[in-house]
Parts: sequence; C-alpha cells; structure tokens
Amino acid sequence: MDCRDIQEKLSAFMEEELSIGEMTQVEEHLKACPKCSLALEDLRKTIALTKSIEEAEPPPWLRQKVMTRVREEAAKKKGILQKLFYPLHIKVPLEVFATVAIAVTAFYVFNAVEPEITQPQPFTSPSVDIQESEKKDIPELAKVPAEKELLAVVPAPASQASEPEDRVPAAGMAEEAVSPPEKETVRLEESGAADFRMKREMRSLAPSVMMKAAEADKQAMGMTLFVKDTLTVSQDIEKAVRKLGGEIIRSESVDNKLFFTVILNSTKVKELKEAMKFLGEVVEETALPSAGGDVEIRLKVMNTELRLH
Amino acid sequence: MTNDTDPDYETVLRCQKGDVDAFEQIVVRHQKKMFNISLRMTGDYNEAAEVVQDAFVSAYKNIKGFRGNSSFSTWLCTIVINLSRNRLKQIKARARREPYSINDPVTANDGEMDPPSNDVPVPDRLESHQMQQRVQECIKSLDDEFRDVVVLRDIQGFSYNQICDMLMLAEGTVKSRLHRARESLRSCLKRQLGEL
Repeated sequence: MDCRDIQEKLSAFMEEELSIGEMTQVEEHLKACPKCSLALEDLRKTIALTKSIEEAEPPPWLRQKVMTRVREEAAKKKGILQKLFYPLHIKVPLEVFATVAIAVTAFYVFNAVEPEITQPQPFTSPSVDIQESEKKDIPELAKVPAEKELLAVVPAPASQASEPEDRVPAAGMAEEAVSPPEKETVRLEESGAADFRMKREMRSLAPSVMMKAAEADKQAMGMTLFVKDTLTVSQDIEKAVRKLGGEIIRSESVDNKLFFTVILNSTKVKELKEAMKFLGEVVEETALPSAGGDVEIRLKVMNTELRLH
Repeated sequence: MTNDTDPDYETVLRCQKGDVDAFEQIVVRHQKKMFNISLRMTGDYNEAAEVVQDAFVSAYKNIKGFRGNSSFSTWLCTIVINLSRNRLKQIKARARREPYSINDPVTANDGEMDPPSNDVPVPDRLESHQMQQRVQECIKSLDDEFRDVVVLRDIQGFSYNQICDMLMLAEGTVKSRLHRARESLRSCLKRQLGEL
C-alpha cells in the first residue's frame, strides 16, 4: 500500500473500522511515513474542531410556535371531520330520519303520478264536434264562456232550457255557485287535473234533444260494444249515430271505457247495431222496447281484453 | 407502528390517535437536536428555526403514516435533513441573486478569506465565537452529500446504521463519503485557520 491508499483508510483507521490485518498494515506504514502521520494528525484535529462546535439552544419561542401551528392543523382536521361525522349521536339518527322521509315522500309522489303515466286519456274530439254542431243548431241556448267551462248548466225540462246569461255563474265563482234545484249540474274536469283519470264531458243540449231524452227515458235499452282500441272508435260511433238521424246526448270516458247515451228512433236501432258490428262485437244487454218512437240507448264501449275478466 | 423498543413508541401512538398534547412532548424531547442538525446544515439560526417548525408540522401531519420501520427520531431527522437541504438551496439561490451582502465573510482580492493568525494556539482560538463561525462556514461550503454525513456523524454522533437509515444509503457509501467529507473539511479549515 502506498501513501495514497493509506490516507484513504485513515478515517476508518481512526474509528477502528478496518480489519485486523488492515489495521496492522496502516500502523506499520504510519511508523515509517511522517507525511501520512501528519495527515492522520490533521484528520484528528479536523474531527476535534468539528466536534467542538457547541450545541446551540433553540429559540425559547420555538416550542410555542410549533405547537400553535400544530394545533391549527389539528383544528383544521377536526373541523372537516366534525362537518362530516360529528356529533354522531345527533347526525346519524337525523340522517336516518331524512332518508326515511325522502323514501316515504317518493313513494307517495310515485303513487300519485303513476296512473297519469300509464293511462293517458286523449279522448276529447267527440265533445268538441258535438258542441260545435249544437252551437249551430241552437243559437238561443245559454252559452258558457270559455273560461267558465268548469261548470255547465244543463236544464232538465225542455221548457227551462233557455236561461238568461245572468244566471250563469261568473268566473271564479263557478265552484261556489249553488245549483238551482231544477237543474242538473255536472262538474267538468280538465284532463290534467283529474284525480281518478275520469274524464266527464257534458254539453249544452238543444231543447228538442232534451225533449227526446225525456221521452226516451221511458224506453231505454243497453248495448255493449267490445273493441280492440277504445280510443279510435268514438268518431265512428258518432258518425253512425248521425247517419241514422240520432243524437248523442252524453259521452263519458272512464278508465278506458266509453259511455254514450244515444237518442235514436227505434226503427233505426237494428241498423245501428249492424253498423256497430263493423267496429267490434256487440252485446245487447237490454232488449229493444216494443213501443215505437225514440229510444234511449246506453252504449258502453269496452276493450275486448276486459271481457275476459 | 411495530418498533416498541423506541423510547418514543408510546407517545407516538398517542399522537397517532390525535393527542396533540402528546405531540408537544415529542417537540420538547427532540427540538434541540433537530434544531442543531438544521443549524449545522443551513448555517443560519433563523433559517434553522423555520426549518424545525416546518419539520415538526410536517411530522404531525404525516404521523399516522409512520410505520416504525426505523426509530421515530430517525424518521424525524430525515424530515429535518430534507427540509434543511431545500432551505440551503434557497439560501444559496438567494445569495446568487443578491451577490453583495453585509453578512458575507470578508474575502481578499484573490477570493480567498483573510489568512488567519497563527499567534494563538487553535484550542484557545476555538473558544471564540468567530472560530466556531469559521468551522461552520467550512461545513456549509461542503457538497450536500458530504455535509450530511459530517453533521450526522461528527457533530450529532449518530451511528452508521442510523445514518444509513436517514440517508437511505449503504454503509460503505456512508463511510466513503465521510472520509472524503473530512478531507474536504480539513482542506477548508487549513485554508481558514492555517496550521491546525
């Protein structure tokens, strides 16, 4: 080993980190080499100088400053946790209660909305047509303003069919209007506001029709028509009735069933029945009255599937 | 945490459970050592105080992640060493931007420091605050890797194992660096103090 190798090992030699063999080699070299001995001495002094540096005291405020910052950090952490979870004994029951309340509300809302979604009721056209025809036929009939459609007044006896306009309840008062004893009041519901999906339509009727109805009350018959689709037959029924010189004095739609009250001459009933057969299956529930003249036919239109039930 | 031979074991467990007062005990126990490590690495009293504050706050934030693979003090030292290195880089960068400072050591025209007087023996001179400052300047002038091992071994007296853990180095590397660090330091001190 030359001086360079020895000086490389001086640091480890000083700390006795060399093997026994290496320690002996370095010792032997140092005895004979003043240069390396001086290097060892310098090294010892260097370490001594380094170690002699006194320990400094940290500033007295250090602990307080550290702990102030640490407590701020702790408060920050705690603040977030508190928002989310604390105090558990209040928050957990509250969250459970809120969840249950939301579930119950959702259930009721769903129940209330579901029928509207599943059973749309677009049946409106017949009433409009009939109303239009009636307006043409009976100009003297008391008219209900459009905004007052909530209430329609139908005089029962033909002699009282025409009432002065001032007897019609004003808008806004319609709900509270007291029905005269001699009149049948039918509340019309708008399709969007219907609670039970029943759409009832009632129109002002001509006195002649009402007279016919009064007569026909005595001669009524029932008829049921089973069709595949109740939504599309109403116009066909109406056409057939008109063609035979009859009148539809009432039409209703309840739960996908149509109800017509038709005034028709008894001689035309058979023809009407034949016309109905083109639309579906006809079942006569009540026999045709033997007396002549007009007869009231209560026609019920149902979906074929309902017959199975 | 698995190392239950660590003197800080119980206290650290309490800290991990969110006991802030327990962390204060940690601060009291270790602040002086951590401050001196940072002081010898940065060479600046105020900077060292800042570094130690940051180190303790960082340790508090991350104490739940301490798994006890080494002793807590070793883990804390690693934080202080890393933060001190970063701070020293900032100090040096700042010094480059502001080349003339009234705090700079006085240098001769050739860039070397004033030659020391050999009239007074070294041990006597070491008593002086100025002498310690010169040794500190030499330590500060060392490369990062040399300064770390000198501070940890010769000033703080950590074992080679502890230093290996802190710096994540093999023992052979630590010894080799230490030898070269001491040689550099010897050269620097000779330049500053003359004969040792």
